[in-house]
Formats: sequence, C-alpha cells, structure tokens
Amino acid sequence: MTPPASALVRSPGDDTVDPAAAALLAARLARLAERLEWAAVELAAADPAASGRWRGPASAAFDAARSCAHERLVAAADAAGAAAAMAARAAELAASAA
Amino acid sequence: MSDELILSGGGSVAVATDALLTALDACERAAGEAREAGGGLDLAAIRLDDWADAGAAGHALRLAADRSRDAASLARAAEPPAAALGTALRLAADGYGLAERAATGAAEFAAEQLAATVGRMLPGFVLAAMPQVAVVAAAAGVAALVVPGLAAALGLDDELDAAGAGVRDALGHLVADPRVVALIRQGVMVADDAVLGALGVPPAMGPLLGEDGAGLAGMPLVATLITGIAGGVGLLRETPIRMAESTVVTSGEVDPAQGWGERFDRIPAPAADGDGMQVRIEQYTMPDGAERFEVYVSGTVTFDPVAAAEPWDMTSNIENAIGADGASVRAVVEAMRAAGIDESTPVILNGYSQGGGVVARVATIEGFDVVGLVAFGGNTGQTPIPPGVDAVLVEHDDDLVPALGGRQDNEQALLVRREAYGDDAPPPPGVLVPAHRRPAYAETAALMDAATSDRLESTTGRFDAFTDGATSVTVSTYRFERVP
Repeated sequence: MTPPASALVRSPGDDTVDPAAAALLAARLARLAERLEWAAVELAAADPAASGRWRGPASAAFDAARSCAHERLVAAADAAGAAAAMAARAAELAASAA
Repeated sequence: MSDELILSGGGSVAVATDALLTALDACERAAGEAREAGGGLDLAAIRLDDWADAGAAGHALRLAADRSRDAASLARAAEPPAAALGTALRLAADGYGLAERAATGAAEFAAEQLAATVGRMLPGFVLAAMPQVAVVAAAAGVAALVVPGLAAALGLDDELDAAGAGVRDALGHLVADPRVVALIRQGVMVADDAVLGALGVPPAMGPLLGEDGAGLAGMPLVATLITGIAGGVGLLRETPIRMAESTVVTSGEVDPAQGWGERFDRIPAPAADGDGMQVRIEQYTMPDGAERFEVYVSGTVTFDPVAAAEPWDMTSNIENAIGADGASVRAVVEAMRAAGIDESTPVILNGYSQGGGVVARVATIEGFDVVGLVAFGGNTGQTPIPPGVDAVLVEHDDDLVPALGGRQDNEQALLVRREAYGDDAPPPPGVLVPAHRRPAYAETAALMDAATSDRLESTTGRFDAFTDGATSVTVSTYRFERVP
C-alpha cells in the first residue's frame, strides 16, 4: 500500500526523515520485488505445449521470448529487492538519528 | 488416454488446451505485474530522492533511489515481451476457434446439401431396392436362427463367441474414433435435410427451415419421425410416471461437493448403487435461513426401446431430443417440487449421460431459479440452455452420446472436451462405447480439478462457493416408475 503523501514529504526546514515512512516505503519496495519474482517464476513455468499439442517452430519462438521476459523480470526483482534493503537500512539510520 | 483438456465457449471464440490457457494467464499476469511495478518503483525513487538530502540516512536513501530506478527500467523492459507472448497465445487460441468454426460450418453446409439431394433420391431408391432388401433380411433371419444351432451341433460354440466378440471389438473401436464421432454429430445435424429432401423440399430450402433458419425442422423433426414410426410397432411409447420411492436424511454435518470429481461421484448410478434411485437432491440451509439446492440426475438405466417400468430409458432419450418432456424430465421436475425447489430457491443441476440432457431441458422450464448446470456426456447440443445459467458441459470427442445431441450450440457455456482414449491407450475390449463409461468421465472430472487455467479455476471456485457457509443439509433420493 502506498504511504500517504503527508508521510513522505518533509516539512519546510525539516531535515529529518520519518523512520516509519521510510520503513513503509521499504516494505512496499520489498512487496514489489516479491511480485516481480513470482511473475518470473510463473512465466518460467508457462508451457503451452505441456500437453503435447503445440510443438515445432512456434514453440521454439515462444521459449526464446519467454526467456527474454523472464531474465528481465528476475533482474528487476533483484534490483527492487536491493532498493528495499537499502530503504530499510535508511529507515534504521533515520530511527537511530532521531 | 489423453490428459489434455480443451476449453471453449464461455462467450469467447477461443478454443485452447488448459495448458495453453494457463501459459496465457501467466504471460498476461507477468506483463501486468511488470507494468504496475515499473510505475510503483519510479514513484518510490522520486520519494527516496526527495528524502535523500536529509542528514544521516541520505547516502542510503540515494542508493535506494538508484536501485529503485534501475528496477523500474528493467520491469518496464520486461513488459513488452511478456505482453507479446500473451497476445500471441490469445491469437493462437482465437484463431484455432475461428478456424474450427469456419471448417465446421463449411462441412455442415456441404453435408446439408448432400443430405437433401440424397433424401430426394431416397424414395425411388427404396422402391428399387425393396426386393433385394427383403432377400437379405430373410437370409439374415434364417442365419440368426440356424447358425447358433449348427455351431452347437458342430462343437463350434467357442469359435462363434470369439467371432461375436471380434465384431463387438471392431464396432467398439469404430465408434470410439473421434473422426467417426464427429461424422455422426454431422449426420445428426443433417438428418432433417434428408427428410426434407425426401418430402420434396429443394436442397436450398433446407437450411432456411432447419435449426439455423426458421427452426421448423432440425433434430425434433427427425426424432418425431422416429417415434412416429416406432410407435406404430409398439416401441418408444411415452407413459405417465409415478414416484415409487423416496428417502430423506437431515444432517448437521455439512459436506458439500467440492470440485468436479466429488460432484460427478454424487450423480446416482441406480444399477451400481443397488437402490435404483435415479435422483439425489441436497438441500442446504444458509446462515440467513435461505435454502439452496443441488440436484444430481442419473444416466440411462436401460436401452430397451419398449417403455416398461424404467423411466430412464430409450423412450425418454428420444422424447427429450424432440423437445417434449420425456418421463425422466417429468420425474426430475416432480422430485424438485417435492423437495421444495421453486423460483425463489437457487439450484445447481448436475447430470451424467441422459441425466445431462435432462438437466439441460429442466433448465429451460420456467418456475425454477437455475443458477448453474453441469452435464457430463449429455446430449445437450441442441437444447438451448438459458444464457443466465452458469453452464459447464463436459464431452469426450470419442463419445458417441454427446454427438447424438448434434452440434453444441450453447456458446455461452464453458465446454470442456477431452479424448478419453487414443493410439497410446486403446479402449478396453468388449465395451461398445467405452468413452461414455462413468470411469472415463470420472477421470476427466479429476483432470478438471487439477487444471490450472484461470478460466476453469474461476468456474470451479464459483460452483464450490455456492454452498459456502451452509449450516445444515438434507439429502433426499427418489425412484420413479412408468405407469403403463
């Protein structure tokens, strides 16, 4: 869930970050990473020829395109996971500085 | 035996295997997730940047923003190939459906014209061939009387039995061939054109009068002709019915059918069950006191063309095909009324074989709130199931019985097809219509439970949720008899 805008915008002259808002954003990033990862897993398992009716060149073309989309989803999930970890670290730092 | 389920209907032109639809769902979900994540990650990066100037956490926030932007860019790059895959699969499914429809339509038109022409020639041909037919029939009759006695005298009983079994097997293989079944389905649809042709109606007029035109001909015309001729020799004569037996059991333990396998198992099998009950009705009391019902209807019990005591017979099969309510339809309606089902009580109807055809006909009768219908191996093709009914029709491509119902015109229903037997798993010997047997449909029901496409899973969810939260259940069973 997206944190309310008021929690994400610092007041004028305020140079601190609300640790709770940062933690909330970190959680949202982690969830996006999870969803991307799950989409990648589901896509990897997608096999329209599983029951044997759809084979040949169409199947090979499908595999190639699926592989491309899968790689990008995995990379996106990894980057989103890294962003979540970094945002969580920022929330910790903000909390200890408060 | 094939494990492949082919899904179609449900208001879509697509015809595809469950595996293909599952892959399609995965591609479309992946594209959607990638698009949504791209936007969410970009927004997060803007917010992180906004915070990044702040004191102690600034560096970490800046790094988080960079990673978030990278992730957004990668997610956006994943969307086009995933979406393209989804589109390709959807086109494949829609294209297959449209091609199948066009091929079937063209074949049917050609067959109608041919049937009408043959029909016009038929009266003359029958008159010319009458003497030969009489001779062959007489020879066959003599052979039927003499051969068994002769075989016994010569000690050739076993050889005669083996020959009979061989013929049965060959016939079993023939009617289990999906191409033959498709041909029979086609034949059912054009039989009325042959009749119209024999009556002197020009071939071009047939389609205008048939099921795709004014609806004056079609299957009912042929079935009426059959009952008219059979009635003349004492066969297929309809009779009144009476409720011979009923049982009622109320239980606090609510155990509704979950999934297609359990639903199929609850359909009565009068001979195998040993109690002769043809109808089972489950009445569920919901938390607000409202009542909901599940009705289960048996398949054909006897194939005897002479209407005796059993209402689930050939006479009912033919009467139901005419569109008149045969004994089995009237029996189910009587059982439903006896159980308290009316226009204010939602009901799901389930049937197998003749029971499938019966529930389709009952769904067309006013006075009931039919919300769902499941027919396994029923001849439902030309029975117009009302559009508001959530219908699931399960047919085997190598099963003769649904084919006898003609072309499947209930396009709003979800049609689940499967080939029960194949080259790698031939049908069992000595069984005439193996793909129509209960075990074959029980296996299909189990495959439907294991299916993963959204199309079938969401339908399963709707049917399973029908009795969610019920607090008690009353189960009643009924046996009906014909009154000669």
